[in-house]
Amino acid sequence: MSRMIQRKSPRAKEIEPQPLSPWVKALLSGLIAVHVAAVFWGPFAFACNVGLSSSPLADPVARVLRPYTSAMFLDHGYFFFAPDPGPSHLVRYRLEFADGREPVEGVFPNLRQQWPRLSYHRHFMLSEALYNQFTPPTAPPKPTPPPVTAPAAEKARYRIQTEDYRLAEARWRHQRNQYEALWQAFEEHLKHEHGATRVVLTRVEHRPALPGEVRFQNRRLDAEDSYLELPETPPRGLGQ
Amino acid sequence: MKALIAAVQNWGRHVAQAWDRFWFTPQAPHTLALIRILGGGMLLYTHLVWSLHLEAFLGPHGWLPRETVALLNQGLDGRIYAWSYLAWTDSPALLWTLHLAGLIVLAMLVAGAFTRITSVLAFIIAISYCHRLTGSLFGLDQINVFIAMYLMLGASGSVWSVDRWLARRRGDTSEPAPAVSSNLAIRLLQVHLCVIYLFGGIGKMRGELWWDGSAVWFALANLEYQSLNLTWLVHHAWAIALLTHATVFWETFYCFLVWPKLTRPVCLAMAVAVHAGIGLCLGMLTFGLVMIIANLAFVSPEMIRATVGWLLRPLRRLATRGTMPTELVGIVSTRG
Repeated sequence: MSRMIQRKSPRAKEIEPQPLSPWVKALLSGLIAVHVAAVFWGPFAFACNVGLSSSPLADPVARVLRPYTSAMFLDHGYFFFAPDPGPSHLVRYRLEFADGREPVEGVFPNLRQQWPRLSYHRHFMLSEALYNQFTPPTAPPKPTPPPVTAPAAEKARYRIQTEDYRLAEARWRHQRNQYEALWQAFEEHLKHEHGATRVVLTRVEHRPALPGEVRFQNRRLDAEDSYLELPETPPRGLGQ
Repeated sequence: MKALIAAVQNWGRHVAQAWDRFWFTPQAPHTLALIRILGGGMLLYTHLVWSLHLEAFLGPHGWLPRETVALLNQGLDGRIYAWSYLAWTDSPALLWTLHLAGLIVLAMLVAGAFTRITSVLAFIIAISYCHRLTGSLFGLDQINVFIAMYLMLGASGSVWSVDRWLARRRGDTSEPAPAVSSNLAIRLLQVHLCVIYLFGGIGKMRGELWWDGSAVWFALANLEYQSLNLTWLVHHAWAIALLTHATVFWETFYCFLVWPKLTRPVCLAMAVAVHAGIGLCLGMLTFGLVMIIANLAFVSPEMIRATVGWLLRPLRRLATRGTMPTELVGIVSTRG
């Protein structure tokens, strides 16, 4: 791989590269080691994040490296089509006008409106981002305090649950703010773009057809019932 | 005990020598130069497409206003490390000025003009757009920045470039020298690419559909991605399963199989097949192409030089007949 080009043109001379001093090599080696560690740790920490728990090693190191990984755009999971290729997500919108115009309905992404394909893909990523950012409007449930007569172990468990709750509540508030900001940005953009006075957004999930449905039932990929409107509030009993 | 200490010392010496050889052996610049031309071309195209929606995405009433993106980039601790010069303004006039300047820099990178400077600027441009456009990004952007990051380390402009042509005009007839910086850039590209594939594979290994052999079906049957209808493959479940399992194993073990000379050609051929498939069938031609460009890091400079030389034969024939401007002869010369 790193063999040099040996043949020399008769008409041209080749300048021999200057060897690096050991001190320069040591310095470069240190920088390489830090950079490669950051390159590895970004996706490693992402992979370790499974639901609400994560590795007690991966997260603290990722936090230390975050200024570098984030600044250098290295904080990715590289989970392309993983863990499973899932449904795609669209956003339907309905624009209403104060000047008496009929309401207009649309959807993004839209292959007919966005060209070239990269442009379509940018709009597709917007709708996917809104889906990924979704956080329910209700905070995670508070732990119930134990009775005064509860044993010490139960009281200790409650203290731990309260600590966890504080963290979960802070995370929920942060993510909910991000979701609402993105939602509002999309609303404002559509209103401004079309001169509308009101816009109603609906997140839509497009479920891909199962192999058996296509093979034996000739199901179309754009079958009407494969598009599912996603609720903005969790069903009763969830997230309370 | 002495024997054990001697063995450990010997092992340490070998590790140090291998490290030194791996990172600090000077390398000819041809591989990096081709990645500069093709990867730079992809950067230029990506940013040209942003021209179609500059204000719709970055303007004061855009999809992604500055304040929203700042919040998206903010960690739980309230800190933001995702810097971008585009975060300072949403004035259309200033945005267009910065955008046009960025396009000129990227075009200069492709041409190899003042490459040492333009490659650094290209990285700043690429990363600034990504940090400013959180919410509209995908794999293409990650690989664009990854290529730009390493292009600024190596001497990517020392062949097939305006820089080379200018050097010739100044009477410099020397061969482009192998350089440690070119090797460093290529090695970092290689290692980083291995990490990308490793975690791409690990991510898939966690999914059930990659094990029951149907994952490729769910990618092909996704109407929003689909650009070529291959749903007829549903009648050949074994083919879908083969593609599914081959993808997972190839991606997970890429980081091992790409280094030995025996398995490297197979590994790279698989990379071309998988990414061409993604590009043609799943509507992500740009992503497919940029991944193939990144894989060029594993092709030796000798092979690149010979292949480019072969491809440029018709142009050189024109040059020898005198029907090509002499300025272009220097650029298409395989010697750079």
